[in-house]
Amino acid sequence: MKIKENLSFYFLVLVVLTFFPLSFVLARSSSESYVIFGDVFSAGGTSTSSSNTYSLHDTIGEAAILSATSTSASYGIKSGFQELYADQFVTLTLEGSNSATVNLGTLSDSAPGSGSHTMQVSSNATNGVTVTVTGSTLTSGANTITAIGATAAASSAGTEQFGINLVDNTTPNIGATASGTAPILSVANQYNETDKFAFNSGATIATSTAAINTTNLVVSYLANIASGTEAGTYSTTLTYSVTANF
Amino acid sequence: MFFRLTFIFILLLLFSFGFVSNASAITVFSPVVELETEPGQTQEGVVKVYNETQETVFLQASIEGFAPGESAGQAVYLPPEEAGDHLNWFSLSQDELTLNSEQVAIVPFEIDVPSDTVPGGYYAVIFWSAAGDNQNNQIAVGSKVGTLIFIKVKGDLIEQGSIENFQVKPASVLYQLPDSFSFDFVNSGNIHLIPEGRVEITNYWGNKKILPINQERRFVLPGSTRVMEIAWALSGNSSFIASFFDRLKLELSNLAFGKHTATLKISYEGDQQNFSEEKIEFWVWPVRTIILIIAVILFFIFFIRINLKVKRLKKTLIENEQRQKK
Repeated sequence: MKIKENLSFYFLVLVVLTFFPLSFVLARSSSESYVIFGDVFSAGGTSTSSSNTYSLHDTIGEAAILSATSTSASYGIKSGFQELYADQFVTLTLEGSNSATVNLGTLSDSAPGSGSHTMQVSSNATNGVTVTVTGSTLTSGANTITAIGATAAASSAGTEQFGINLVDNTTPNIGATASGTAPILSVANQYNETDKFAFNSGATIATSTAAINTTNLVVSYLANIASGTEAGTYSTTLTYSVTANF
Repeated sequence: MFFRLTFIFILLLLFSFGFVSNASAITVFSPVVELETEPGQTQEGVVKVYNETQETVFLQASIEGFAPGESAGQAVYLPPEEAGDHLNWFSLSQDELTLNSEQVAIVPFEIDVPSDTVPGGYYAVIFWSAAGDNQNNQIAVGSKVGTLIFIKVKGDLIEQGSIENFQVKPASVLYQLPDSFSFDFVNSGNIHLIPEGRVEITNYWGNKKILPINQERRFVLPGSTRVMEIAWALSGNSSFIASFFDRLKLELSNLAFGKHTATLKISYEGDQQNFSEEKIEFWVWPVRTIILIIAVILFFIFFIRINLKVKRLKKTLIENEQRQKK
C-alpha cells in the first residue's frame, strides 16, 4: 500500500511538472500599460551618475544608424539600449528540434539519398536580406562525394553528386516551394529549378530587395554515389547565414 | 517523506537549468551599423541579439570581412586570408551568449584603430551562430545571423563617384510613359558613398516631373559599381488593358507627347559636397492618348453624319407633308 502511495505521488509530481513547466517564469514583463519587449542584459555604462541636485541612470550608447539622437546648442543625448524602440531586425529560425540534422540514409549507386529541413527568415530591413550557404560536400576522412557545383543538374544515380535546392521536387519526391504572405524571399537561380540541385559554398540561395514577411524555406538535399565511391561514413556541416542588404 | 522531498528537489534542479535547444532562432536588431573614427582612436559600438523562441539558445560570435557581391547590396563574406587586418581591431565584450527565452543581449564592442591606418572604408560582419551538431552519416545544419559594420576611418579620404549608363527603360522611343530610369553609380574612391538626388523630367509643353533617387540610402562600396533604378509611378502595371485608364490619366495630366528630357542630378555627402549630372532625351508617342484622340474624332464624324441624315429626313418629311396638303 505504501509503495503504491509513493508511486502515485511521484507520478503526480511528474504530471504537474510536465504540464506546468518552470519556463513560465521566463515570460516577458508587462502590465496593462506597457510591455518590455525583451529582458536585457548587457555590459557597459555606469548605472547611476549624480550630483547634489540630480541623479541619472544611464546606459552605454548605441552606434546604430537608426538610434535616436536628441540635441540642443549645448548638449546631445545618444539614446541607450533601454529605449527599446522599433528597430530593423533580421531573424533566421531553424524549425523544430530535429531540423539541426538531416539523415540521407545509406547511399547506393542505384538510387539517390535525399532529405530536407525547414527554416524561416523574416526581416523589415529596408533593402532586404540575403541568405547564403557555406560548408563542404559530404566527406569521409580523405574521401568526398563530388558536389554538383554552381550549375544545377538533375539527379543521376551512379554518378557522385551532392546538392541542394529550395523548391518542390518530384524526382526525388522532396521539398516545397518557398511560402509565406507576400512579400517574401525569392529563391536564387540554380536553387529554384524543380528536380535540379546545385551546391557551391558561399552561394546565395535566397534574397530580397526590400522588407519581407516570414518566409518558409524547405531545403532539399540530394546525394548520389558511383559504383567506385569509397565506402565510409560521410557527413558534413552546412551553415546558413543571413545578413541585411546595404 | 525524506525520499519524496529529495525526489522533488532533484526534479526542480533539472528543470531550473532549462534546456539548451537543438533548434535555433537568432534575431539581430540594427543589422547595419555605421561607425566613424580616426587613426589611433578607439571607437565603441554595440550589437543586439534576441532569442524569440520559448527555449534557451547558446550562441557564439565570429567576425568576418565582407565585400560587395555581384548583385547590388549583397555582402559576400571573405575568407580569413582575404579579409584584411582590420578584423583584428575588434574586441567583443562577450563572444559567447546563453540567451533565455525572449531575452535580448546588447553586446558592446570596441574597434581599436592603429595609428598608422590609412584613412578609408573598412567592412566587417559580426555573426552570431548556433552551430550544427555533426553526427555520423548526417548533414548537420547550423545558422548564423550577422550585423554589417561599416567603418569610416577619417582623414585624407578619396570620395569619388561618377554616373554611367543613364538610360530610360524600356527604350528611348516609347509608346507610353517610361517604366523606370536606371544608371550605374561608380565608386572609384576609398570610402563607401550614399548617392542622393533626383531625376527631373521635362517635355516640350513645359511640364516637369521630379523623381527622387535612393530614398532607401543604399551604399556603394569603394571599388564597386551599383545599378540604381528609379521607378515611375505606374511601373508595376504591365498589362495594356488593365492599366489603360490609369496610364491614360497620367499621359493626359503630364501632356506626355513628343520629346522629353531627363536630367539626373546626383550628390554624395563627403567632407565637401560632390555633384554629378547627366542628361538624356527620349520620345513618347502615347498609344492610349492617340487611341482616345482617334475615338473622339470618329465620334464627331459619326455624330455629324447622323445629324446630317436626321436633317435630311426631317426636310423630306416636311416636303412630303406640304405635297399632301396641296
